[in-house]
This record gives sequence, C-alpha cells and structure tokens, in this order.
Amino acid sequence: MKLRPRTFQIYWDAHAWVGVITALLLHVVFFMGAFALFQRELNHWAHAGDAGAGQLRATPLALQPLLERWDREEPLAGKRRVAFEPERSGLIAYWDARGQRQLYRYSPVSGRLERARSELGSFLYDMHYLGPLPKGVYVAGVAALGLLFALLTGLFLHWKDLARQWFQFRSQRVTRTWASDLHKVLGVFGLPYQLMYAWTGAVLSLSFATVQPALTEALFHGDAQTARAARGDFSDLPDPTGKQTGQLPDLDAALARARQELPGLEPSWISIEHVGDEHSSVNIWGSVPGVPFGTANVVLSAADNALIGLTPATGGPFARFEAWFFGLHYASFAGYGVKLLYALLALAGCAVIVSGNLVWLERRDRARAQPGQRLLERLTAGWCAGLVLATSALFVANRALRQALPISTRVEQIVFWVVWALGIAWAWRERAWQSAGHQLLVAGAAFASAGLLDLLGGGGQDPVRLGVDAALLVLWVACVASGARLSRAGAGRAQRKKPVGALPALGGAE
Amino acid sequence: MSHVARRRQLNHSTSRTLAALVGSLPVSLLLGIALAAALPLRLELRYLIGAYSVVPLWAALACCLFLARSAWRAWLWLLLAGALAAGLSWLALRAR
Repeated sequence: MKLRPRTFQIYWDAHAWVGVITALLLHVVFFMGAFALFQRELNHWAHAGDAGAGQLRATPLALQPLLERWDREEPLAGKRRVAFEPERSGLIAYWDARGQRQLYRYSPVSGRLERARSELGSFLYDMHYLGPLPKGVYVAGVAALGLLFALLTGLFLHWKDLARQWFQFRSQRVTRTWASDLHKVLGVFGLPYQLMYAWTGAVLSLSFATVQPALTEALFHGDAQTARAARGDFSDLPDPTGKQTGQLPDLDAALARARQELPGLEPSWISIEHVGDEHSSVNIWGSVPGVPFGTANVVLSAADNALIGLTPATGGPFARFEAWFFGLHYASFAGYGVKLLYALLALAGCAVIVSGNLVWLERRDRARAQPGQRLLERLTAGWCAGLVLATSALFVANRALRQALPISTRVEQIVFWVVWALGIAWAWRERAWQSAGHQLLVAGAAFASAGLLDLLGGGGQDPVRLGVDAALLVLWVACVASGARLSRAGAGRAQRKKPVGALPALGGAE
Repeated sequence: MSHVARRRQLNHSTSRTLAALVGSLPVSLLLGIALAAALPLRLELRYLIGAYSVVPLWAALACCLFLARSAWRAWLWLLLAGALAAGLSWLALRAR
C-alpha cells in the first residue's frame, strides 16, 4: 500500500504533532510501566523483610488469628474495606476508610501484621497511570488515545517499506538518520505490544467513566446490576445499612466455603467489605488453574458465610474477553519471562518516544535556532532523563532511610519529586543531551548503590530481593551505557556548533 | 510544487484537527451504542462489541477525518455519522 502524496503528508504531520504533544506523558507511562509489572516484588524489596525471615513461612497458615489480633491492636469496625493479599513474596494486608489507605505486611518473625515501611512499588505502579496527579488517570487515557493514533499513522506511513524499517539501523550516520532508524526499528518491533497497550490502556483509563455508564444507560435503562449480569459478573456486593454489629467474619471458614464452591480456587485477594456492618460481606478473588486468564470470585455474607454471588472462571464471552484483554495488559500469564519481556518492550517504548522528539528537532531546526525548539529539546532531555534519575533516587532513599525512619514512604516520594524537578532544571544548566547523559550516569550509580546496599544488608538470602537487586544492577549497566553515549554525542555536537573563524579567501569564491 | 502551495493543498486547520481528534470522541461513543443496540446478536455479544469497539472506532474516525478536504466537511461527516448512529440506536432500542 503506497499512500498518495497528500495523504502521506497529512499523516506525517499528524503523526509528528500528536507524537510530540503526548511524548512526555507517554514516556512516564512506559517507563513506570516497566516497574509496575513488578509492583509486589518492589514493595517486598522496599519493606526489606525481617532478618532471618528467609527460613520461615512467608504467609501464615490461618488468617483468622491474624485478623483478630489486628482488630485488637487497631479496631477495624467501620472501615470500608479490609483486605488480605497472599503472594509469593509474603502476605500483605490493607484497610481503606474515608479515602485513606494503610498498607501492612505480615512478619513471619513476630507473627503479626506490621505497617509497611515503604510503598515504593505501589507508588511506581500509581505513576504508571499518572495516579498521583489530579485527574491523572484521565490524562493517561488521553495519552493512550494519542499513542494509538500515532501508532496507526506511523504504520500507514511506513507500510510500503515495513520490512526494511524493521532492521535498518545506521548508528554511524548523522543524528537525524540514526534517531529516525532507532524510532522505526523499535517502533516496528514493539508495534503489536504498543497497539495492545494503547487500546487496553485507553479502555482502563477512560471507558469505565464514559463508555460503560453510557451503555448501561442506553441498553439497561441505568440498571447497573443487570448490566453486570449481562457481562457475566455476578459479584454484586450488598450495600451497607449503617447498623454496626461489630462482628468480624470467620475468614478461614469463608475460604473453605469458597473452595467448596469453586474447586481448585487459589485465592489471591480476600476482602471484608464494610467491616462490622450488618450487611458486611467477604469477597474472595482467585485464579483457577487450567483456565487461561482464569479468575473467579465468590461473595459470602460476613455473618454466616451464606453465598451471595459467584462468578466462575469459565464465564460467558464478555467475561472471557475481558479476562484476556486485561490479562494481556497486566501480563498475568506465563510468569516472570513474559514480565521481563514486557519490561524490555516498555523501555524500548521510551526510546521510541525520545528518538521521535529528536527526529522532530533535527528535521525542523537542526541548529536549534528557534526558542520553542530549544525549549522542547531541553524539556525532553530533562524530563526523560530526570525521571530515570528520580526513580533511582527513590531506590537509594529507601535504602538510605532504612535506619533513620520507621516509615519512609512520604519522604521517599518527596525525594522523587524534588530530584525530578532538579533533573529538569539540570537540562537548562548545560547542553541538553549532555545533561541527559550525565543524569543517566548518576542514575546508574544510584541504581547500583541501591542494589549493592541491599545485597550487603542480606538481600542475597531472599530470592525476591535478589531478583530486584539483579534488575537494579542491569539498570546500572543500561544507564551507564546510554549515559556515556549521550554525553559523548552532546560534547561532539557542542564541538561542531563552535563558531568557525573566517576562512582565507579563495580565489573567485566571492 | 512550492512549500506554500503544498501547505494550501494539505489545508491544515485547527478546526479540522479538533473535528478529527475531539469531535470524533462522542461520535465513536454513539457508534458503539448503535452497534450494541442494533447488531442482530444476543445481548451479551452486542454489549461486548459495543463497549470495546469505541476506541478502535475513534482511531478509525480520526484517521479518516484528517483526510477531509476542509474543516467544514470533517464536521459535516461527524454530524452525519452521529445522527445516523443516534437514529439507528433509537430505532433499535424501541424495537427491542
């Protein structure tokens, strides 16, 4: 398919403009996406476990004694939700009440729930959809739409020579050529992945607030319960009455009942809704082996474990489609191999975005004579490299504050925002790409420091922490390699930009 | 062809860009509702197709509308598509 010249030019312009407008937001989404995949492992690493806990069970055998002890130490009645999440790296629990959320981890040494020292993994996960920013999730949704449009127009533009763009990378050529090659090679390689993320990301961020309510209104006259049933979701939670009985459910009996209803269920999330209310319920989610992306859930009455609702893993087409659709987004299949591949593709997505902005600058204003293009260059360099630097600072802050603060979540996040702002400012202090290179070199050193500090602190005895430490060391190598290249390129560019003295007059040249 | 002549032929305008990127959002939602209302399938499948077609429909509309000869035409296409989708939805929902 060869586009007509007019169509080609319109798509070219639209691709460039939509790309450059959404680039910086998408860089955050993709970069944080690589970390969001390992949210639980990162939370575990950040909490850093108990010394000698490696030999003990990471999750308790029974939840009920833990719940009762927790309730004695901190009354849970009145909380909107209390939830437990058994996971490979240990048991976590949290409560939600009046817009607040508090995370706890099970300590195998003390046998009780302790407040999580850090929520580093959750913070990076939230940053993936711009959650910490006001209305950030909708901004991320709009950016996902922009990504989808840029991907489609990019595909149309290069359709005629897609096979060539897949492999052509001329690293020794001028910036415009190698940046363009990098943009296209990584763009074509990552196309199915990025298309999937653009679509699923837009649906996750925008559809539940726009499309679903509109369809519920149009098809079901606003009856949300009927709409849920049509989707194959029968887990309708009862509304609270406001009358407190203060009674806690028997969680172990509820788990046994859930396994009776759904044989083979492996619970991954157990929540008590509206704790202590006379209509309080227990909601148990889990996976069912043998069913691809097979999740199921059971809703029981907290008072007597009577069955309220059940959604099987093998539901109708709507439920199965959504299980695959969101399962692909969250990489909830095939274990760490796929997650690592996703993370690699996410970082490649960042390179596509940065190289796209570089192509824009090189094509439009190679000498950066226009103030707007200079601003874009500095913003791209400072924002993107600054984000890497801020993330590395977050890891270092976590380890450095370990002895100083019992709970370091808030301080870590302040460090993150301050370092990111400094990173952006750094791009105004020296040449943009040189500053980006220097920031990446510092970020590499910070990632390595965090990993080494954890290894020295006994991280090697815990497979999850060891995995995170290894990833931090890989990030160190990647940051140093790309930082060194950018610093050299920046310096070389500066050399070329130096004004050249008047040449001796050549005969007849004038 | 000179740069100016080429730009004139492309006829880039803020209004056409807005039609393609923003105006297409409610129209793609209307088209999704029309699919969910009118497709001759059982409710669960119609609902599924309607809900998950909105984003691809928006992308398709945006790609097409950028090629409109003028902003006027882009908005006219949107109006026609929106009216068609709304009418079809109304008729289909009344008939069910």
